[in-house]
Amino acid sequence: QRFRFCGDLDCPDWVLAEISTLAKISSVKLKLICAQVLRDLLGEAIEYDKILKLTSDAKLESGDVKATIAVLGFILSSAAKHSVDSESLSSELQQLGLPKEHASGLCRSYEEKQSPLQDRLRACSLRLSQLGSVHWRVDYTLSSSELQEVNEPVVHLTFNVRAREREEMTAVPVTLSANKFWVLLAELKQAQTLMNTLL
Amino acid sequence: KLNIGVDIIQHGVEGLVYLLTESSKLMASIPFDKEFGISEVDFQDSIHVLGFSDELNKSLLQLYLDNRKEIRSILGELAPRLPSYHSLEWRLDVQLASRSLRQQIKPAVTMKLHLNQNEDQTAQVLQTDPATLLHLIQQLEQALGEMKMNHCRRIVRNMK
Repeated sequence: QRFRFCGDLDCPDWVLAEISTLAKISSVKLKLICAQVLRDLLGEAIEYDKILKLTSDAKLESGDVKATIAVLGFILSSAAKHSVDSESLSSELQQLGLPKEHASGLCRSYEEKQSPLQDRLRACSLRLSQLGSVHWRVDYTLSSSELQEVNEPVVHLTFNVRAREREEMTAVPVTLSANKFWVLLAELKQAQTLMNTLL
Repeated sequence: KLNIGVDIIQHGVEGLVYLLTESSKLMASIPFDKEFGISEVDFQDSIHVLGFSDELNKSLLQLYLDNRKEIRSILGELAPRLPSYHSLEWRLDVQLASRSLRQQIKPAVTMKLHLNQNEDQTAQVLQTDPATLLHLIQQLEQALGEMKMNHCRRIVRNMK
């Protein structure tokens, strides 16, 4: 059977298996655990001790606690990935056997954080490199070893680029004559106009 | 505490390590246990040659029996490894224009293949057009399909 929150594919077996674990926790506590998992997905620190306290009533083993976090993480991020609305998610989770109160609690948490979650996923998408900043300086060349009177402006640009794997910035310095700089600027402006037609 | 020189102890430890790893490593002659290496009889025969006391032989045997499964699993992981798959990130882009040509529609799939090799993580960036990607998928599915062919089935059955 196909599920929208799984990207119109079958639900993975391990998710199906953990639904019964989720049902062991009370629906109120489940909503609080969801809030923690959402913090982790949004890049904030997860408070594992709080989760342990919330699951202590259900008498889950440590493996089950980790499985709970994993399955909630999957459901929430996968639903955000495929832009599933909160109602459809609730009905699909109930089809998988999650009790109604648990599903609605989970989906309410999801609904609150769906936008920030999608923004975060967008930011984490594959990027090859990223421009950090550009610094510039305009100089005026008076003279050189080749020619006594040069009298031309020159532009120094430094692009600070961050390559995705290493989080440090590399500086790429470029020096351009005035004419070259005009050409570069004209081309970039054309690209910008094209980009604006798409926004 | 034992009042012996450091060298002797070091050699003693090395000797024990060698004895245990070699015994766990080898699949000895009949009767042998497929999962656990040398049988008890073979181990006892081998160390008997060393001329230790019976008590020592018994404790060495016990040490071997208690630890051989773990030693084998650790030895299994020491084999050299090729880079193995860790994860794959991908994105689908469409090139609409470039400096040389406007009004294009050129889809491309960019992938970052994360690999693991002995605790080193490397990443390989690849880019392809949809047609080549489909071909790639087809080839990989064919490779998976080989497992269902009679030849592979026969071998897998015999290994079990």
